Amino acid sequence: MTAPLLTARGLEIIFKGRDVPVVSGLDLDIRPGETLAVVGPSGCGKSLTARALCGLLPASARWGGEILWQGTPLTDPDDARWSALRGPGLTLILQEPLAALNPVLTVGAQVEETLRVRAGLSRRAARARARELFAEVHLPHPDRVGQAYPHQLSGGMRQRVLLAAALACDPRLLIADEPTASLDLTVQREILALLDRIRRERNLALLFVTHDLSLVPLLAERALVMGEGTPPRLVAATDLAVDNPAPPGRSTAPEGTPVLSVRGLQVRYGPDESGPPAVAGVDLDLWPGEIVGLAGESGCGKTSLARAMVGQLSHVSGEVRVRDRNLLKLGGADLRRTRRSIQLACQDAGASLNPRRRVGAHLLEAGCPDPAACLARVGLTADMADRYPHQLSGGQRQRVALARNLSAAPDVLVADEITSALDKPLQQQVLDLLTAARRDDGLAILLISHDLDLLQRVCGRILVMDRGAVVEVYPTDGSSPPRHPCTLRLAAALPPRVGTLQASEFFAVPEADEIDGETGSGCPWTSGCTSRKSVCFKVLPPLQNVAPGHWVRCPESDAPVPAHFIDT
Amino acid sequence: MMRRAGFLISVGLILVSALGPLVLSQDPTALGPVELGLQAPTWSHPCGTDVHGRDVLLRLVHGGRVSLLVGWLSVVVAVTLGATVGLAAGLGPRWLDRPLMYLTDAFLAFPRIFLVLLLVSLISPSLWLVMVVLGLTGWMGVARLVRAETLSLRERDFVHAARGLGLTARQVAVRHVLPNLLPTILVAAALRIGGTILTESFLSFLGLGAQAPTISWGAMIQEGRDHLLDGWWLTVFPGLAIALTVVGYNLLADDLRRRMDPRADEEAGS
Repeated sequence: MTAPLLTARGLEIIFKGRDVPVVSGLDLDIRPGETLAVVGPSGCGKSLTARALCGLLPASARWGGEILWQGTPLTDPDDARWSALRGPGLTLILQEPLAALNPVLTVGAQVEETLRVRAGLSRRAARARARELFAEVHLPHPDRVGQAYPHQLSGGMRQRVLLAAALACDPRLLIADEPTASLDLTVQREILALLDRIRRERNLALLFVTHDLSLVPLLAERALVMGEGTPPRLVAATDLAVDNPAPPGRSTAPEGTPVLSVRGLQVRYGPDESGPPAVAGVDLDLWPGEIVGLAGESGCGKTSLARAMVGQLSHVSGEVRVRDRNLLKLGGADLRRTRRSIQLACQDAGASLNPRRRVGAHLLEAGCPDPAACLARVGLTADMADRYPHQLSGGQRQRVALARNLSAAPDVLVADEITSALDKPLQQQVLDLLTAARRDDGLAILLISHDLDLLQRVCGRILVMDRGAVVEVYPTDGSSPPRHPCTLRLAAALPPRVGTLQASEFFAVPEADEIDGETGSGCPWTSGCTSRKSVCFKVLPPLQNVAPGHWVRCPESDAPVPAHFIDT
Repeated sequence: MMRRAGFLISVGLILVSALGPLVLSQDPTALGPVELGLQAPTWSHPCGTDVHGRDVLLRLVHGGRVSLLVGWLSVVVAVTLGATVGLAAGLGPRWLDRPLMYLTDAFLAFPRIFLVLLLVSLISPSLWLVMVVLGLTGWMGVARLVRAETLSLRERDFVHAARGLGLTARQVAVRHVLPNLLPTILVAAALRIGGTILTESFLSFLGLGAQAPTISWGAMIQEGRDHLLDGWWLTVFPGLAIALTVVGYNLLADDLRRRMDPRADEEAGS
């Protein structure tokens, strides 16, 4: 057995001025060619651990115990040996690639800078090496991508650039802190496959920090489990239990009149509104007491639809009727009253809370008569009312935002990816809360997520969106399984349940770019579709009813195409 | 320590000029005995005396009142005006934004110091006029700053959320936008106080600001400039007072910016 690259013994991390350490008694060692996963719920100190191992703890935290690099102890955080180690020895990849890249420099310049400063290459050699690295991380057009600025790249491409920069100094250990948490599932899978391949090819050691237990067996042999109140323990990756909680109860079948009906909703961005619509004519009905899922990859128009439905956007055409009042046509006091009855819960709950107002003030403002009771409803204690948003954890913020939404006593709640930043137990807690509100108050909920599995558990029917249009609506009771290529692609991007699929099969699904082809008029999914017909290349097919409650935008019957679906 | 310095200096100066005249209660304008004229600093006159035998320290303390008052009042005028214009442009009806910003740019296009010189010399020079004129010519920067900040706040999720709760435009402005603007406004104000005191000194030095017998630091330097070689204390001590004030308020502004962030306590030390 080879000697470990990095070893930690009895590692302890404590914030200055606090008594209880965030992490204590942590032992780990990692050898070349090995992947070690560090897993745990949010707030368990796994990111701090990753930073401590690079000597990059924030100044407000201290560490104790021992960290050894190839048997030599590293002591002082300012140790010159440590900074010499970062780059050629170990390197850190962070969660948010946009924050790690300088927005005013091209990505090529940023990678080349590393090469020139740390590897001492000449300008020309650095450029050539950067190109090789871009090719190694499978960036498209490696010879041109270097001239792009970070904002011109997608999240997945940015993460690839960061990986290229990290590989620039030929590190022996890669520490990846939630490298895929901000990406959607399809891209997440590609990045993980890439990490895995590079680790094998370069015989790297990989320390992979994640909250998503289902990813661990795909990449790692061993996992360090944190945040259980005991010292972190090492387990074999295959022994990790992924809890599959029982379905929290489906919503009932619709009856009576819908509480919300959206007709022909269209959103366009840009000063002259000339670009393709972000939302292209969506129709949607919600009945009281039902949860409807809305799924789609990032960029499909889910969030634009959500924001347009609650009246946050201008340049919106169509109708949004809440209790038969068109929100988009109202003004003044009527508008203010109607807005209360359709609430939006956003993905980034922290941003939706005023940083200078206490939790209690937020709730009172929303019409909650008793903050303690409103907090109790979302499972928070009354003393939270005196806190500022930044003093809460991510999960607590999400629940405070939800408590505020519910305090407005809405008829409709639009929940936009509210669970995607949460770990599994918190996710379940929030879902339970929503199902309770549906059952007790007859709240109608549009639950937006890219996670079909999650929607399947709580929703009565699921709408799938792609490129601004609804492509399929299907019931979740299994009576009529989904069939549209977009839905199937979303389903394929979900990480497999532990033990049901091998990692190689998961990574073998073709990359997204190979599925969708040219754009222009006609159906954008033709190239990946097995049931396409010649008409598909000319016009966008209408939604067709294929079974009770199941609609697909696919021309399996030869009904004439209505003019308003022709995409120009 | 440096963080506290700004606060200590600016509060210290206010206390000295507010309470100092009560302690040193002699009349700073009364002429002293002739043999006391133009004396270098001694124990009985730590900052020396001027040509008329008046104690420079006494005059400094009394002059501080005037200089600080001018600084504060004109900044209050400028910031109130600027914040109002900026908020109206950022949050008001869309058509209002453009004319308000054109107006701001038009004011910015005049070189401020010449505008002030012109106005003060056209109308008879007085301290009050200086205050008003400095205020009326100093609001543009604040207006631009507040508008820019408002525009970005307007699209923040928590402002959208407040609107979604059915709050009126005024409630959104007062409860959600203004509190988040406050640090920007206060920092801008603190930075400007030092600068304005400097401008007032400059005007008084040209003889267009405080008129005798009113004392201000700038006016004291103006009186002392004939004795730069044989009476250095006449210009050096008021000069030091002005420098200390400007530095003090700049440090205070830095400190305020750091402190007004609700997350500041966690970032301490980083």
